[in-house]
Amino acid sequence: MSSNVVLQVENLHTSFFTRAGEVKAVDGVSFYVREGETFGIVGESGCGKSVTGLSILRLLPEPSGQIVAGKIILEGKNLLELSKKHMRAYRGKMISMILQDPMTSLNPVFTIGDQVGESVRMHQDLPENMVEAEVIDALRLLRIPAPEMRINEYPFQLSGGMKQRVVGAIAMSCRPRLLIADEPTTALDATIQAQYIALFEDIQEKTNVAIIFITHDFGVVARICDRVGVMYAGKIVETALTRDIFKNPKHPYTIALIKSVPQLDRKDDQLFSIEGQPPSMLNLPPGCRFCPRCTVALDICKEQEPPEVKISENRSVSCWRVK
Amino acid sequence: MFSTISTTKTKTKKQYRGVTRTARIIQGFAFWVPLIVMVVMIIMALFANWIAPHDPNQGKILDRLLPPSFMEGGKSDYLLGTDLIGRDVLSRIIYGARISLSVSLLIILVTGGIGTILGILAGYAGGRTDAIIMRIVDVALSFPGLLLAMLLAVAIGPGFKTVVLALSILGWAGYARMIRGEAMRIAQSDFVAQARVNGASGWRIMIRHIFPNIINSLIVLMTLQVGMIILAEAALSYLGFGISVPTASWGSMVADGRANLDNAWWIAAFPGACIGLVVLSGNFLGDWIRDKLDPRLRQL
Amino acid sequence: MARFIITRILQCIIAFFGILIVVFFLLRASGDPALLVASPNFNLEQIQEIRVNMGLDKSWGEQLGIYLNNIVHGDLGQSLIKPRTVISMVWDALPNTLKLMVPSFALAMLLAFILGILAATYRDSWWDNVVKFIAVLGQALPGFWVAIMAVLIFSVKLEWLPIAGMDSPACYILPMGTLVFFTMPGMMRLVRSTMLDVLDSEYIKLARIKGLPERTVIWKHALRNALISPLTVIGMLLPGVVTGAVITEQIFNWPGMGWLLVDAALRLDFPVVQAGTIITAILVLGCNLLIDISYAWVDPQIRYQRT
Repeated sequence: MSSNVVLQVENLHTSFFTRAGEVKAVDGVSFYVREGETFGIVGESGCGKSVTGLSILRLLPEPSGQIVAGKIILEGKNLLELSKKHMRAYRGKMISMILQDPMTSLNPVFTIGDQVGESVRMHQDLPENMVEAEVIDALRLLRIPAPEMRINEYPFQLSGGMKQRVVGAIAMSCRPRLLIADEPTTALDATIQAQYIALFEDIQEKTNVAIIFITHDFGVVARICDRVGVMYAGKIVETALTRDIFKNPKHPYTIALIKSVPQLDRKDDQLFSIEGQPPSMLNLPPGCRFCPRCTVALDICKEQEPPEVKISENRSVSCWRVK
Repeated sequence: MFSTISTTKTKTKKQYRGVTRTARIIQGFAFWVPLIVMVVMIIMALFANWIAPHDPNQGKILDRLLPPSFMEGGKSDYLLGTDLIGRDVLSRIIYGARISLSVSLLIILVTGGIGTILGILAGYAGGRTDAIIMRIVDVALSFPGLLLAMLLAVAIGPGFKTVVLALSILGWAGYARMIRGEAMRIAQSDFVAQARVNGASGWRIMIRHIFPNIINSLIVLMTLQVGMIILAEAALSYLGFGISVPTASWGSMVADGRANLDNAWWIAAFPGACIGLVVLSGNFLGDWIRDKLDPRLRQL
Repeated sequence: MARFIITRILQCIIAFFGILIVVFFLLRASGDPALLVASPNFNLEQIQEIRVNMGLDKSWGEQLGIYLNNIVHGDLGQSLIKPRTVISMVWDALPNTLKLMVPSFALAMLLAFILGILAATYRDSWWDNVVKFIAVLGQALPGFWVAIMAVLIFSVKLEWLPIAGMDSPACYILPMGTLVFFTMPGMMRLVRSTMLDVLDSEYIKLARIKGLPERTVIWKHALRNALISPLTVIGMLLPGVVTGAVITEQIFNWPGMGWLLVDAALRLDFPVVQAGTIITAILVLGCNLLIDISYAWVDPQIRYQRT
């Protein structure tokens, strides 16, 4: 892992303009990812983590979704300043994404070879006979058995886990600098999950790609992420090295989240869960967003949003309790 | 749609406001106007005897081919003009509503009933039963209704019976197919499995469990069918296989009017416009009901 | 795939014979055809003679056999009204129908697809609203009335287009327009909604993630998937096309199969009605078959699995 920063997100604001009003899905998010590093974004459903991923790719559903403010700097270039055409050239080549549901991610009417090959043809200037070699290469990278046969198969002929690997192959086929994985393991069986995650480590070692891993599963985080950002209601509330997050969580939400993960070695009478619901994104409370559910809230928490405080090199928290 | 952005500039909300005011006004129209139209039609059908100014079947020869009262040469007696024999177009339209309504009601009930029974049977029983029923459905769906109506008209003569028979013999198939899909889906549910565990027989399950759950879809289908059936009846009557001359069916009136297109366009124009208006209203209302009952079926 | 085709062909043949038999019984059920042919003042002997001529004295089973045999040999009988064989009448009429139907149907489908895709791609735009408007009107207004109004406006009042006849290309405009009006809106609506569904799917999102130009996303990825559903429905539209053709021909006095059928039916010319029904049934079944085959070609899942 080098210390070159591949992606720097500064104060990103993404909103959806709907009939009911403006939904501030991402409200001032900042983080960075280095080469060869895996940054995890953890949070409940609806906290804005997927939207963050889509914003980086500038693939929000139009016209309701708009990036309202902020900077997204990929290897020195602010992506938000690029023309549409230029941005498109980045997609698939410099940045790539894996979606959550393998069953629907692949186009049912084209073969695997077609779909992986499409990326290769799009972004690399290779003569035709070399394209197939590249495709087989990509499939091998994802440890897909018998890639020469897979090329002519259709998605419906593959199992869920295999499909997800194909999606991974498409994503890695042009060796991007940044890979965004949006809950790629959620739809897989537990046994396949472990294999798939090991695959990511392998790929990262081989290609030095920076990975943003979006998930709600702390177990996965522990396994593969180097650093983590915890997201709640559109904001990142805490960032830290993975081991620090588990050993010494500082934000009340993070603490509660980790407490909610059932432990096999402890004998608890009841499973712990966080009281209440995430706030409605249309009607956010004035102070800290977690305040209504926070067990240790202070008076100031109700009125003012806490600023992000950088505690150390890899550590920052947004909480009035932490100075 | 997306141009350059600097760090501090905030997008204004003008970009996407959601539904505009004009759209909301039109949406309001979309419910009330069709409702009023359908209510008017039902009133016309039920109370034709009292509402119609003239006898629809008797005409005064002296008053033949009069234009509508608001045009030059028209008489105030005959609001929408008269036809070749002097019959009042308006009265005939009012009585025509009775025919259109009764035909569609009858056909919807019959086809809906048969279609539901067969659909639930096919969907729940599966296997051979399903295959056989669906094959018949396929044939029924690909057979042109007009052809059957013609055959029937040749066999038993044109008229009310012919229309109802022709449209019923083929009409149930559409219901059957849709209901079968729904029934199959529901048959997979846990509460059906539960009923089976409790020892309920197939028929009991179909009646007590599956049927109540497909009622929504059924109602939606039925309301959307009203328009189609009215159109089909009108077409048949127009051609002469349905309820034809001299009875005042909207379709046959258009047929009458065709011969006199250059000198008395109103004979064909108004009945046809009426058909269109009623079918349009029926469709809108059907859409509205569908939105309320089962958004999943949304097509447009 | 081959298995699929063979099954479908067999089904078609069975359906065809089913229709033949139904038509046969339906026509016999109305009463004694001999009475219709005979003049009112014929006596019993003469009527009986006619009956023998028409083969009505034989048992129903025998009659059915003769009937089926004749059809297989292409003998469709003699018209009861005109001194011509049914075959010759059909032979004259069929090309006229095809001349009208084929270009109209092609145009209708083309328009339906283009408009439907445009409406879905530029959702809620001006295009979309126009398309929705056309669809709504097209499904509510009675086709025969619209045609008559069109004749009223364009032929009678404005005198731009001829009222009837087949001679000039201008004669084709109104009838074709009418037929397109009958068939296009339903398909257009379906294409639009299918396309909307497809555009929402995950694999389209992935296509964009890959960095493909929007053009490719729509016309390569989305379109092929959007074709599948409407293709199945084209088969269901065919009866509507037949109906539309019949009505159109009647309105414009277009001497095609539809006109022939209506005329014959109104005049109780059994053999012609019988023949017309059978031929139409063949056409519809045949088209359905073609569509099913092309459906299998477009959707790889059907190709590889047994259906």
